[in-house]
Amino acid sequence: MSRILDWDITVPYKWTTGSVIGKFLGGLKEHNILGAKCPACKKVFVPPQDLCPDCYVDLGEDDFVDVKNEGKVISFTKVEQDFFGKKPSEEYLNSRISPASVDEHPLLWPPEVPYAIVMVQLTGADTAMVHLVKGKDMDKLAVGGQVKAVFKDETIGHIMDIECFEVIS
Amino acid sequence: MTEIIENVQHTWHVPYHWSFGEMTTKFFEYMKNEKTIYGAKCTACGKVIVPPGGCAICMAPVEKELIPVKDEGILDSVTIVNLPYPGQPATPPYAYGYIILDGSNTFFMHMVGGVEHEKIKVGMRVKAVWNEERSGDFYDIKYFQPVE
Amino acid sequence: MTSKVGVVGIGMTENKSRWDVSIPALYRLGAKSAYEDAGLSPKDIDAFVFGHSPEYFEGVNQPEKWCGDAIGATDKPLFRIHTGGTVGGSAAIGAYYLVASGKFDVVMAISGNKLNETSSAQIGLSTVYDPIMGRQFAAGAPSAAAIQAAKYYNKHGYSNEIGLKVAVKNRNNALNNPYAQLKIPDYNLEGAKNTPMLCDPLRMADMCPTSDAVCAMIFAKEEKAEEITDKIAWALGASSTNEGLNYPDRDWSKPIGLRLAAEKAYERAGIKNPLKELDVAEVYDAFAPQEMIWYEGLNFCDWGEGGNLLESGATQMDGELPVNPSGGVLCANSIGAAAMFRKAEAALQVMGRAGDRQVPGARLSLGHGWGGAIQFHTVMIFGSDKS
Repeated sequence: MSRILDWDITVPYKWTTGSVIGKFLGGLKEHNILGAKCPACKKVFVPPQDLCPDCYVDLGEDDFVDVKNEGKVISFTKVEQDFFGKKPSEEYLNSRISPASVDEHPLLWPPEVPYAIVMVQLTGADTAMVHLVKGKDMDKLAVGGQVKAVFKDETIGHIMDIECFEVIS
Repeated sequence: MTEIIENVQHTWHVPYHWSFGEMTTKFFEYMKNEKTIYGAKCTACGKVIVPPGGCAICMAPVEKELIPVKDEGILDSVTIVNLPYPGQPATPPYAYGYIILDGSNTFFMHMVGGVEHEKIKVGMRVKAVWNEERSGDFYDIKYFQPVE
Repeated sequence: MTSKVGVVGIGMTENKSRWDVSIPALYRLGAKSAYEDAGLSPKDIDAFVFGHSPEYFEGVNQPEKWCGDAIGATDKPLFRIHTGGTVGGSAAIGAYYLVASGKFDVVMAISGNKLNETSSAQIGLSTVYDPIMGRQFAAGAPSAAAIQAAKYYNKHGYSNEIGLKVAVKNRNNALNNPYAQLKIPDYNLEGAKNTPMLCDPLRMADMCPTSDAVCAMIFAKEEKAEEITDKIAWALGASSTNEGLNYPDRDWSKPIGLRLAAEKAYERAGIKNPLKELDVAEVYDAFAPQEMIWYEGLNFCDWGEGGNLLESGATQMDGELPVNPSGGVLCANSIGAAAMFRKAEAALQVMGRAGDRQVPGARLSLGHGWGGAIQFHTVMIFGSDKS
């Protein structure tokens, strides 16, 4: 009979964004969704990347354009099963990451099931972005339907400044 | 001017269930129940591997029965750790090193204690000081202490 | 049927804390630097070998997925290699073997890390130890290297201060290297002796910094290489080893696995007496005393003689075999890129392109790396001539 050790790897991180992703997040803080337009092929990337993977050309702060906060559902899935299990307590996390703390490094954890992951091509963008649809709207989701971003009141410059997307049609 | 957000901070937590396997399970049971350290003997070269595992040189099977080794031996190398970082077994300064236990041929990593740090020397003979309360892990041994 | 292989382009980013770029952007800079150096673009590369050391440093699993586009590998074959701290070396050797196999003409090897993205690189390092036996003592790298050094000094009767002499040599060399992180003018033994003792016998002076950096090397087969540039570093021999973790009678202060790998690399390159024949070497000195242990493993001298070789001055810039003209890992350690920097620096030397750190007339060089719980070693030999 083999013994089993139940333990975990718990590590705090500070991920650098760079000027391009940084500007996108800054836009979210202001309730604006921005895209980056490749000067060569003119494709608009949302979320933006540091370069256009097709043309291998740098994208910079000056290549930004506004895109609409709403767009078309390209695809979606409803997540019914919880994969993550019991959320560890703040006290436990703090004991593992000290001297870092959960205040500055909030636990990265998915939303409560059920929730839907949706790929949305916002009007004005050439790529689709991934986000969430929650609650009763999940039943109204359909490929080709329209959804609109719902922003939180308090925004910090984070992808979750968008609380979720709601179904318009 | 749109603000450039410079970074995103989070804690990433991943739980695991790590399986010990038969030999390691027995190794820790012996430590807990008998206050004895056991090793595995290679059927080809006869050397004893502690903690028990395969012989990486011969790649031959080890004997089915684990062999007890002494809980004392020679301190092969040691360091006094002053550098603090998360996950340490003790608050610095603390000493830990590699011990070749009598009867074994591999090094056993553990703390060295019960002695002033200045007196700790490579090559000294050290013996395990066991805890009264044991749960079947390395900390069942409090530390290795130099033998007079 | 193996082909002659040369290095035609080298890319480097400066080793330091980079809070201005994300991980893929840093890779982009490293790749871009290599493309510009060789006058090539992604369409010229047939395959990529991606390094990057333990994922727990940045918490991004399979970073090659995130960074593949950034290096120009879209729709191209990409191979991930991973050998801890010497991953840069293994990636370089991997790229060399791919070209030598005759299946690919031009291959880019690229490797790096953003160590500063975790609060403690030691937590990341602790996860490389197995969770059942190895992780109890959160040994990290400094404690492990301290154990190695303590054994080495004790066995051969060297004083604890001899490692500091390695630090003084390399930190002074680093002043000539625009890519090094630690550039401390007037670095001397007195100053080094006064740094705090972190893990006896290692002082702060014996230890490497924590860097964010990427290094890239482009390998090409003979005919292609000669079309691309006239300053080629020919890859003459390579080898690597996995020394094993804790086998009977293992002695961390005597790296037998490294000696075996080095001998194989020398044999392939036709070298009989490395100390005499090599013009320059770059070795992986994450902790100062290791440099002397690697002298022995690389057969620059007999077992136990590493400290004496250092004291003789033979490995100084004006000595018989200058070691670490770049300042080595002691002055710049991003882990992921560090071993490739050693190979790249060795290549630059025989290309005559090492700037202020050039060893005059260097025609034969060696780049070394180690990784893991000091078990993986890689060795590569470069020359100005094809054989």
